[in-house]
Amino acid sequence: MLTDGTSHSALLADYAASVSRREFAHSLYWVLGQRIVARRDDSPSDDEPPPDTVLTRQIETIDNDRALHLIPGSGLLVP
Amino acid sequence: MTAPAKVVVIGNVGDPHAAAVLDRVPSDLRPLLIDAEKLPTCQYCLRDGLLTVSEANGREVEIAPGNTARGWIRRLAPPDWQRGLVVESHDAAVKTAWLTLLTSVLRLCGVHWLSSVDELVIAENKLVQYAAASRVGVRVPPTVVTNDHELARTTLAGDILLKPLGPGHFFDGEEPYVVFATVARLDGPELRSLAAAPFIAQRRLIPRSHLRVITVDRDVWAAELSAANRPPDWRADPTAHRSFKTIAPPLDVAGGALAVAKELRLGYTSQDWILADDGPYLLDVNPAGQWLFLPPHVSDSVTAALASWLLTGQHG
Repeated sequence: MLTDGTSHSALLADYAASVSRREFAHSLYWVLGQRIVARRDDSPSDDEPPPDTVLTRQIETIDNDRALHLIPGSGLLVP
Repeated sequence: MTAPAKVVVIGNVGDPHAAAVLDRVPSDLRPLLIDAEKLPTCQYCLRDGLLTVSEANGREVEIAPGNTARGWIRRLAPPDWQRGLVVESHDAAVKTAWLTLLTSVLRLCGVHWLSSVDELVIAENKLVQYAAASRVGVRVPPTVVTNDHELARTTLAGDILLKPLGPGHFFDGEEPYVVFATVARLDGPELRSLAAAPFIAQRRLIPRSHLRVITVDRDVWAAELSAANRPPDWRADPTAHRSFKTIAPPLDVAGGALAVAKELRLGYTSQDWILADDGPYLLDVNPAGQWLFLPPHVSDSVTAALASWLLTGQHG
């Protein structure tokens, strides 16, 4: 019970009623996720990485910082 | 003849970070490089804390309590080792069994780890990192995790940056997606989508520069990236990956980075900081993150320090 007499369960019920199902349809993963596409460059200069390494680099940037790859849903949390 | 390994690296031969460190370890110390992908290719036996491994090339080594081996955990398995696995499938059970064996070795065989697997697991959680930073007096951006977007707005009182609490990337079929830290538009869909998966909401701070700060034991190095004309998450800009410059870390950053690493019981960290007009803030701790993309002065020093710790327990 809160100090104004409102119960937690009532608050939660109010909250659940106020949230539309639409808000559960798309997680922020879909909203913010950027599909990584290899850049196509027919004439890479010495300063440019060759095609496809951009893809590799951006994925590795994420992967290289994660030692354990605790991917929910894979069932492979470190035992 | 089986001989004790004095250096153990948990990682993959295809990982340049593991390879760079192992290149500096003399072969007469019989370094063992192993992970959940390589283990099935070896003949092995684990009994009473003694692990013997016969590699495909015929070399036989052992690790056991009392052998005074030192170890560094880079990765338990290659990045794509778990990709596409279905929960509770046969393949998931098999790979979980290999991980269970590997983590048993990490916990039972008496290796002195630079960072233990359990501390790595704990420290991967950003909220745990922020709590540790707070305990040692290091500032982090005001942060909240909530599924109520109005609460996020009122709590943070300003522009909001959203970043994953869970993984930073995912696959839709074969298509890879990366989730960068992103500024939430007040009239956009971002804040209204907080309900389906928990994300970190932070007050957006305007950086003058980004820092990557590396700690090995009690030493620290840093490289700086100008924030001018960069997205809030520098990783989204491919040119940023090659644009860091070596700097002497500001004293409060160096001290803070070492204090956070110690609080998290991590012998190695790769940390992301920003320098704002009112001083430095810690954004993220990568307990086994990369360093080879940094300028040679930093990357070579870090590689040397890791190898030195493995060889002697000291560095420099």
